[in-house]
Amino acid sequence: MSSRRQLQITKVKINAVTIISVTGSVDALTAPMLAEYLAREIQNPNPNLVIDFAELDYTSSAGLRVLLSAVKAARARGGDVRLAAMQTNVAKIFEMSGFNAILKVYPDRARAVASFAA
Amino acid sequence: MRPISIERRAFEGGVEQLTAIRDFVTRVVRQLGAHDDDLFACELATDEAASNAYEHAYTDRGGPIEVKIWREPDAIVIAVRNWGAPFDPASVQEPDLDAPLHQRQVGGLGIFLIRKLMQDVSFAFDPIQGNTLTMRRVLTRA
Repeated sequence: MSSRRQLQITKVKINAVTIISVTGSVDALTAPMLAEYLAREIQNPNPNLVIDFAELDYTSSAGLRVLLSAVKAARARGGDVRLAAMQTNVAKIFEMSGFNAILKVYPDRARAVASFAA
Repeated sequence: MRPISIERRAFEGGVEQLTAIRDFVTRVVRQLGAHDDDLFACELATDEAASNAYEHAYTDRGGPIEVKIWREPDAIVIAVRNWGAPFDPASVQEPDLDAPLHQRQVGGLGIFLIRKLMQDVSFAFDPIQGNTLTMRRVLTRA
């Protein structure tokens, strides 16, 4: 039996910023759930999203693909997707894939949220 | 010379098998003496290889995947086999990491990560033996 945590996605809204917390693992099985969740949030005008990855244990390239599509869609609607609190291995995949140049990444959610006010 | 002991497991199904595949890889690779970075590299590379097989070789319909792992003096070797359509990862265009956002493509990242994390990545196609992606991880703390 796997000890891995199942994917869980929750959100909280602070003023004009929606913080989405992702817990568990994103792979080819669970990435569509994250994609669907983000797509719903991005339907709103000026979608300012912070994705808090503090509890994200693992992602494969399936998760990166979801984020790439999400940030494109959010920026097209006048918003942005910004990331916070990535664990070491997740940060490593990001760096290897050159995603640090595409998405804004912050050490914690407070700074990611504050970045939208700047 | 000690005989090489090969850990082998077959997984039936589709992408819902990815957790079991990653669990198998982390358990075996840890037993074979890998730590931290090597463990993570083997886990992610196998996930990407299996995900590619489910998507391209089995075109999302699922099918058997076999994972074999063995230890060499300085490395861990992992072979991921499927019996679907022959799919050559070398045919996938590498993502352009410097491309601006609107030009970044969503495909090709899996095999790109495999090549970044592992060495001697090779692909063999055989109608009976199946399609096998073999890759080595030279251990950072052998």
